Formats: sequence, C-alpha cells, structure tokens
Amino acid sequence: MTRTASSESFWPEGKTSAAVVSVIFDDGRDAIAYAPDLAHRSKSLSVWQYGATRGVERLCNAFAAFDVPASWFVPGIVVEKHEHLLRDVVSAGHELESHGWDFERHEALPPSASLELLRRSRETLNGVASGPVSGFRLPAGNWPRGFDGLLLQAGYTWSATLNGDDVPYNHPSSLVEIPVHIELEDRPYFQFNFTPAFPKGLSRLPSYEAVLHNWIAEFDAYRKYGLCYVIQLHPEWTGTPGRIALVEALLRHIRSYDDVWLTTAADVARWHGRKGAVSPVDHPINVYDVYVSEEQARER
Amino acid sequence: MTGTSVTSFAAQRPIWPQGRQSAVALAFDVDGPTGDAMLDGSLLSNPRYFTQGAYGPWRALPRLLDLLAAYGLKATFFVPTWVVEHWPSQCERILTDLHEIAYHGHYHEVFIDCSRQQQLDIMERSRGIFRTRLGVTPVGFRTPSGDWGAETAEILYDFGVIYSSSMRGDDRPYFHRTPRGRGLVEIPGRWDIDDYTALAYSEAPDFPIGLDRISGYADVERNWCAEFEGYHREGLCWTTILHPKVCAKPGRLTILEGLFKAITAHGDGVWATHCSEIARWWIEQNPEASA
Repeated sequence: MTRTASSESFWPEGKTSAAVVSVIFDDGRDAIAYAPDLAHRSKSLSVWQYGATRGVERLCNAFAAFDVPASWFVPGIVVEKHEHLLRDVVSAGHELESHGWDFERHEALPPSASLELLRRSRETLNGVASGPVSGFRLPAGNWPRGFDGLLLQAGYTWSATLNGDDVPYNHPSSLVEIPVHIELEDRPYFQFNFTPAFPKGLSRLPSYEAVLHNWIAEFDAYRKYGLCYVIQLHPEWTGTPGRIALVEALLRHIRSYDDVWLTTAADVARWHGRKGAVSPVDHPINVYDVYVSEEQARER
Repeated sequence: MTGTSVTSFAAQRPIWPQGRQSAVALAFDVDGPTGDAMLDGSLLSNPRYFTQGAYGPWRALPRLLDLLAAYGLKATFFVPTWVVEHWPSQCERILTDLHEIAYHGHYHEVFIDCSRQQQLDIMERSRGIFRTRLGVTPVGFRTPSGDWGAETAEILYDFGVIYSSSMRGDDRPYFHRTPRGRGLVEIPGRWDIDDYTALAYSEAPDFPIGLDRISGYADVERNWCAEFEGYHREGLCWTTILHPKVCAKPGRLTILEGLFKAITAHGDGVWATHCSEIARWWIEQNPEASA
C-alpha cells in the first residue's frame, strides 16, 4: 500500500492521519446569492434561518459531547448579524475563519476591491474570534489567478477551497491549501426547498444511514492512507433533531482512534506551513498554472 | 440455462479460452481535467474544477493501481493524451504494472462533432504522444464524451486500431462493419457500470444536471457486483466505464475492493484480461470468411 503521508513525521505527535470538523455558517446568504428572490420569501428563507435559530446550538452541543474543536467559516456580514451567537460559539472553544464578506465573486472584482473585502471580513471576524483569523474559504465564483497573493496581503495564511489532493499543499506562494471534497459536505446530500428549487432537480432525500456509511467509509480510508479528512457541516442541514445523530455517530467513530490528529483547520495549516514544502511540478496546483500558460501562449 | 425448453431464442454463448466461463475487461478512463470544460475554455478560469479532475491522475490512479496489484487483476486504461503529457510518470506505471493503455482522444474530444480530418488529426497526435512519451502504440479506442461519427469506426480501422469499447448495445463482443467488410471488434459496455451514474457530483459545472444525490457506497457496491455476477452467470464479456477521479477516491476504493473480491472469488472461471486480448481472441475465433 502506498501511503501518501509516507514519512512518519508527516503528522505531529505520532499521529498517522488528520481530521478536521468544519462548519459553514452562511445564514442563508449562500442561497440568496444563488436565488435572489429568496430574500422576499419568508417561508423558504426560514429553511436556512433554522441554522441560526436551532442548528448552531445543536452542533455545538454535539461537538462538546465529543470534545471536538471545530473550524467555523462565516461571511463577515453574518458575523455582524449574529455576533452574540458567534461569541457563544467562540467561547465553546471553536475557531472562526473567513467565508468572505457576502458571497462576492472575486473574479468579477478588481484586485483592490477584493483586497478591501478580504481585509474587512478578517477584521470583522477578528473582533469576535479568540485569536487572529488566518483561514479563508472562497464563498462563490471562481478562484482568480494570483488570488493566493491577495489572500496573503490581506493577512490570511491558508485556504480551504480547492481540490486536487487529500493532504495540505502549498500554492505557488506560501499560502497553504487544505483541499476539500464535496462528498464530505452535508449540503449536497440534504439541501432541499421547493421554490426556489434546491437542488435544482429536486432530488429525493437520501437514506441517512447511507450518508453516514459514506462519511465513515471515507474517514476509514483517509485514516488508512494517512490523509487529512475534512467534514463540512451546515447548521441548517445537519443541526437538526433527526440528523444530529449522524454527526454524533461520525464523531464517536473518529474519537475511537487515538492515532488520528483531530484538530482545527488552522492547526493543520500551521503544521503544514512550518514545513516550507514546495508542491511538486506535477501537483494539480502547478499543472493548472502550466495549463493556463500553455493556452495563453497558444492564443498569442 | 435450463436446457429443456425448445425456443427460437438460442443465442450461442461466447466461447472463452481454456474453458473459462466469462470474460472481464476492467477498464478505467483516466480523463483527469480534460473534457467539455477544457474544450470550451471555461476550465481556464476554474481552478477548483481543474483540481477536481487533476486529482484523478495525481492521487486516485496510483491507489487504484495498488489495489489492482493486490488482487492480481489486469485492466485497460483509456487515457486522453493531454493527461499523458502532464502526468507522464503516473501513466508510465500503468504500463510497468502490465496493464493496457489505449486511445481516448487528446482533450477528450467529442468525435461526432469533428470532421473526418479532425478525427484523424486527433488520432495522429495521440499516437505520437503515446510513442514518444510511453514508447507504445495502442490498439484500442474508447470514444470520449458521447457519440462518434458515422465514419469513425472506419477511420479507426484504417488507422490500425483493432477494437473499440464505445457502444452500449450488446453484452458480448461483435464486429463493426465497413463498406469493405469486417472492421473493428467492439467490446460494448453499459451505463449501468459507469461510475458517473452513481457517484460523480460537481457544482459549477453542475453534474448531474439536476444535482441528484451521491449514492450510498454500499448500494453502489451491491449494484456493480450484481452486474458482474449477471454477466458471469451467462458467460458474457463484461467491461467497466470507471474513472479514477470518481471511483478511486479514498472511501470509494472499498467499492472497487468489494468488486475485485467478487471477481477473484470465481478463480479461473473468469478470464480477467486486457480489452486487446479479448479483441484478439474474438478475431481468432471468428475467421473473416465465416463472419
């Protein structure tokens, strides 16, 4: 078996793999960005508002029961609206990280405007977080070329946005990427609303047992191969009475292994960043750069 | 097979070497980031989607090769040559592990949308890359992205390709026809064993188009094993349409492992081999005069 994390010192403290529990708390701004008329549909919008009303607390209780520090990605505008709730989240031992300002699409903004929003989000989050905010998850749109440099300028040191790997890696700059995979997110499995339609084909809800089986199958494999598992939860989708048991079962399972480094995304990024590793030339992040350069050269 | 009733449905079971009951041509399409978004240029501004595709040759393929080696199974890899150019060492291992590598376009082009000359240009470009980068000249082809043109089978045959694994309409090999007689061997597959139908999921671009849920892995494993067992029971030729970036993600390797266990449990009853071996066998068994 080829372990990706082949070196014994790949993970700290004798751990052989890592796991991160992350929460994406958008308070419906994600859905409104996708379907703007949702802002005027109180019934439908309440599907998402349930997160702040009940889901955040329920997730926090589950995390407390298993002594899990989570990484919460929150847009700046949601921090302004739910400051008290988020202070409770922080005092429960969780970290806050940036999910942008309000679902802006950075590829459509001039770099100066991007930089301003990135700084504004970080400053707003810093006002509530227990320590300096260092991480960013792209809320919407595409990652512009050279965006890693902008994030560094705005004071961030890592991102959890792209794919391409299952262990942390470096952008061409020193920015660390903690790759995320959509099958480890709750939203594709559980989002549902009739009008506007989420998902757009109104797919039936899946078997909860099957979803848990998938998440555990992935965790077991990430542990076996020495990787960095990142589960991504939304208060409105799994912070519910019927689904919180999935979160509890997953955390119980992860907690049953003492060779897994269960920690925050910022800890993983710091650990990786200290190694000063350069991504190999055939790493997806570098092949992407090669691809864009080749295509630009072809057009000239 | 009951053997008692007399009906007009008397399709002959295919004959396989050394009394094997069925043939299995495990096949994987290593598309990486090639495909529609690369063809229309939208991928240039979408590194999230690019890295999702690039995960295939970068991380998924090596683990899949490990798993195939652990079960002693041979497979065929259909690889767009853009992937060969950008991940040559990962593709070299396909050959050093004694699997077969075969044509799948350069950028995963849509052959039905290409002129005769464009199709030929793609084939020549691919052959050049396979020869210079990997030192092989493939003999097989799987059409990328949907349909091929009315003339494609003939173009491929004249180009020196001996088989295709592109069609959906049978469960055993057959010969394509050309105006001049017998052409390529076809090793048909079915959507039922394409991992996109159960597991692929992407937003922007959206797949599936209605953003249907990702299936439960345990159900997928049971379905795929049922497909294999059905083909084996009837003595047919089973091939797969699997993509490392979809089916060889860490947790999904367990699905493949379940399938590999089911195949190897039949021991010598299953002829698990390269598509090209099956094509050559089919040609030998069916001399042209009688075809």
